[in-house]
Amino acid sequence: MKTFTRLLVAACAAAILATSLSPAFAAPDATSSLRPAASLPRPMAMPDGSTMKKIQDRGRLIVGVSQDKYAIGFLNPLTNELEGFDIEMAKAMAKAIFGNENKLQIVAVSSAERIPLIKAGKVDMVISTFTINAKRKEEINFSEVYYMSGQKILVHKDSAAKSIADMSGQRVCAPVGSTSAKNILTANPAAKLVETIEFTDCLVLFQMRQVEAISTDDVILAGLAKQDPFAKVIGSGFTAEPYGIGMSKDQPDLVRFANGVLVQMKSDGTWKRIYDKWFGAMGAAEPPRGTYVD
Amino acid sequence: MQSPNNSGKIKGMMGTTPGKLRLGMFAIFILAICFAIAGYVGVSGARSSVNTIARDAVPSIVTAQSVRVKLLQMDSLASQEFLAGGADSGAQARVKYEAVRKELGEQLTVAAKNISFGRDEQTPLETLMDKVQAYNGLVEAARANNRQGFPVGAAYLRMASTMLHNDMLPQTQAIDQLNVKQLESEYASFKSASVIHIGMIAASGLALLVVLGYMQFFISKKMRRSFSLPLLAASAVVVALTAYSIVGMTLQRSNLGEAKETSFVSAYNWLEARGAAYDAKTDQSLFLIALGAGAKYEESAKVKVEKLADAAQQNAQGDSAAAIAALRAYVQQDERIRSYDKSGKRAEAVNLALGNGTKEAQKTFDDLNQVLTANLKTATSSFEASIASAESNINLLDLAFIILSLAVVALAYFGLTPRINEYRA
Repeated sequence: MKTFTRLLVAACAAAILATSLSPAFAAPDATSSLRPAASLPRPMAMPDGSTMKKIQDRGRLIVGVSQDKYAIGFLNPLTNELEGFDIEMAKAMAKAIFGNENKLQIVAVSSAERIPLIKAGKVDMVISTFTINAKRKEEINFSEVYYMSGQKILVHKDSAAKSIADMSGQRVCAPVGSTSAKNILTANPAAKLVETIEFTDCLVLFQMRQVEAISTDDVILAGLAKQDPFAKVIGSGFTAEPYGIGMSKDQPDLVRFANGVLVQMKSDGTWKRIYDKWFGAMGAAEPPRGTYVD
Repeated sequence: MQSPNNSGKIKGMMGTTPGKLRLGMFAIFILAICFAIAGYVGVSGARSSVNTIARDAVPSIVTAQSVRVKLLQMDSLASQEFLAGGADSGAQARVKYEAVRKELGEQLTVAAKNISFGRDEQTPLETLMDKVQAYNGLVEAARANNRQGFPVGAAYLRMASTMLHNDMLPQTQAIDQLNVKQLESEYASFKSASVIHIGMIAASGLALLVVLGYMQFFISKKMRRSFSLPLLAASAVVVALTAYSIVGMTLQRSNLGEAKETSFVSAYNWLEARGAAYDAKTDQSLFLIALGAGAKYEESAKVKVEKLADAAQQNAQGDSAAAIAALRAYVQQDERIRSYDKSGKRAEAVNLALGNGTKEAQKTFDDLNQVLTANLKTATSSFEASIASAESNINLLDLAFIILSLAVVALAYFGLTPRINEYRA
């Protein structure tokens, strides 16, 4: 009996250890996606009958992005061009299909619009700080994780708050329909949630002192803080936010293709170059490794 | 109630010729006073209605509507400047914005001087003045962030536009509605009162004429005299004044009806159309700023275009056909801009919308604005002409009633006194 108990404890310990290792060695979970093909088709030579071929024939890839997340996806008013980490991801996808990163039609989407637009077939992909979770996966497909973020809070520089726990009774802003909004109340049910359409609407309320804090993923907060010298990001991430590219459930071939492009970007240094360009100030980072269900 | 003593006196007077003459003269005096009062009250009332409608209610409504148009113009220019970013067209839009802001300040000052409803009108006006400052602050914040390349600038612009539509335009609407209510009530009471006034003038004039005629008949029949010239002249004055005032007041009624029901309605509709045009242009800019997520602005622009088309079609004054043609050209270019944006050609869409390079889309908006402004001017001029006619038709008529009624009294006195005196001998 003792031997059996020891074996059971050892087995449990092994299982816990396995799940705590890097995703490459972890069992499939909510972030696992469809395994890419061994090699990517050449640009402008997409397989007949595939979703990518339809996109190739259409002449442009339609991607939903956010336009108000500084350094991630934003319209630079000085150049009238969309720029940021997610935009470069979208360009890489277009380049993989067409050999030309400009064969891209950008559609700005708010957090609440992401899933409806994918389901309605109005966009091929959504690359917009889109956290992968089981509930969303019931409605759409996700690529493998392309960035691992975590939710933090942004407060005024004169605030004494150290973490989300200090925000009881305080107004904390997040976009309506976002995971961030739900996470705030999960982390501190006593916080007063204020919801807006866009992240920048939160920043306007913050600058008008109509909210005391904004809480969302660290990269988004870093972008907001860059726009307001009187703001600071505090605390450690109280959630894990694995970002994936959202696609239709009806187009698994496109998911595999996108994963193939991501694997290539992570291995050939493209991911790191893009990360350093936009988020280098947050410190060095390694690309997350993908896990697959098949 | 007449006392038995007075009644006896009157009966006594009726029994004699001089008594009848004196009673006739007295009746003429009394009826002439009634005629003068009926005429004076009727004409003064009509003049007062013209003043209230033309110099108070309508200018307040037009000012409120003009303020509304200026606000929408500012919003349109702010969004165009934002869309242009650092381009020259942005600087041009800013210059225009500042000019319109100055004009708006002047119009608000005019509105503040023309308050007729106390707190009911003052409160929305004060709120509006405060909100204009706040709106401008948000636009400045949008500009400052935009110039640094910060996307939060677009959020400030959205907030400014939302505040303008949700908090500021309803204030102009409140002022507008107060004055529209007064206009409608004043016009309704004018219409019913003018019929009564015309009737009273006709009745008192007729009564006076009957007594003058009877006295003329009495003198010629009873006293075997030819016509009394003073009484004849008095009768002619009464006939002329009654006829002139009835015609004048009827024409004035018609002029005021034309001014209120046709010209004012047209001017109001053209003002609304101009506001809708600026609003549609703002929606076009916000649609482009929203980068494909601007479906709500596209829907909103459609509503405004329909409103504009309705206003153009319903208008009796102004060149509706030209307005519809200009609107059609604008909508065509608007669809072209949206089509560029939807097919991923955003730069082309923005350049077309702002008039950078090719000016054809911007020209269609300028043309539309020009046609609407010209039509507004036509309706406003027609309103002013109708009001001027309404005023001229009763010009000095109230004074004429006093003077000519006195003249009738004097003529009756000179016509009847010599006949009465004949019995004194």
